[in-house]
Amino acid sequence: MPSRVNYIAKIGLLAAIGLIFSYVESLFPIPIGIPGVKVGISNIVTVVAIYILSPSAAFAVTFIRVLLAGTLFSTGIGIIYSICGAFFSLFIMWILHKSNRFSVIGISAGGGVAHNVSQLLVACITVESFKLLYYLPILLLAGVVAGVVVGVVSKIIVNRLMQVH
Amino acid sequence: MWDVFTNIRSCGRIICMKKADFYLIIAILLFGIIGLIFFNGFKEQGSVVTVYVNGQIHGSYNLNDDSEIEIIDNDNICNVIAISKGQVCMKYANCPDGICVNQGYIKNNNESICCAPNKVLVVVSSDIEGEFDAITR
Repeated sequence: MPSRVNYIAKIGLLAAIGLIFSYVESLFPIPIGIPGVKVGISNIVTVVAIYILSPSAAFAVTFIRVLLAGTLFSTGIGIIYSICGAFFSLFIMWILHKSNRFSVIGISAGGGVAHNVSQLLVACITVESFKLLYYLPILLLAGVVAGVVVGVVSKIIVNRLMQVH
Repeated sequence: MWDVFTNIRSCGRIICMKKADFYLIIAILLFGIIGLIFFNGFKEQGSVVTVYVNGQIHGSYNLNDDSEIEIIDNDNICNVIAISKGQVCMKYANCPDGICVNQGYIKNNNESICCAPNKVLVVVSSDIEGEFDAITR
């Protein structure tokens, strides 16, 4: 059991890395017409936090990252979008992790899809129209492909960090 | 580097995918591909552009008539929609992210441009009655 200070320091470290990933992501928006849809590089940090620390630490990391990235790189409604996306995807990943049937790749694919779907739903609610659901299949495919890639990267990182522990 | 990929099935030391992972990923892929085929089966060149503001119809425009539609919110022009040569795009938006402007031109039915900060939605449909088909199917 690592000490409390060790734990807090790691949360801060992961949140800082996540913030950089969020910044890199904000430089390459995907022009698919739904605000907030991203590749999900910052999801690497959340997945790694779930594995090397705990789901509650992952919640803290996500909360700090989203709040800082929202105030720094986007304004107003953009913050609400990223908060919804990040927490919905964290919630799905937490359920998948808790079921104990999925590995890092499955969890990260589920999280990526959940993020995209939540962005689409929030967009539908704000413009008060379900016509945007036309983009659902594309977002599902994009989410699962990005999620698997993020999962493979996260798995490699988790393996390395487990050796350090 | 290659053992990253070759160990996926054999549950080796680098990547260890479980059965549930495969089922989850394949299920989502299937949903996505079926949805894509389903929607693209109805793909055709649209002819009507409908603009929604705050969920209300702001106006319908013919896709073949070149025009510019300005949407005014609180005495400021918040969005400019341009129709030219059978295509429609968001020419200007006063929101900071500019996702809708970056999306470029759309022309097929059911495609849409959404500007969430201003609650503006631009939808292309094949005809006015076609909108009801899109809801019921």
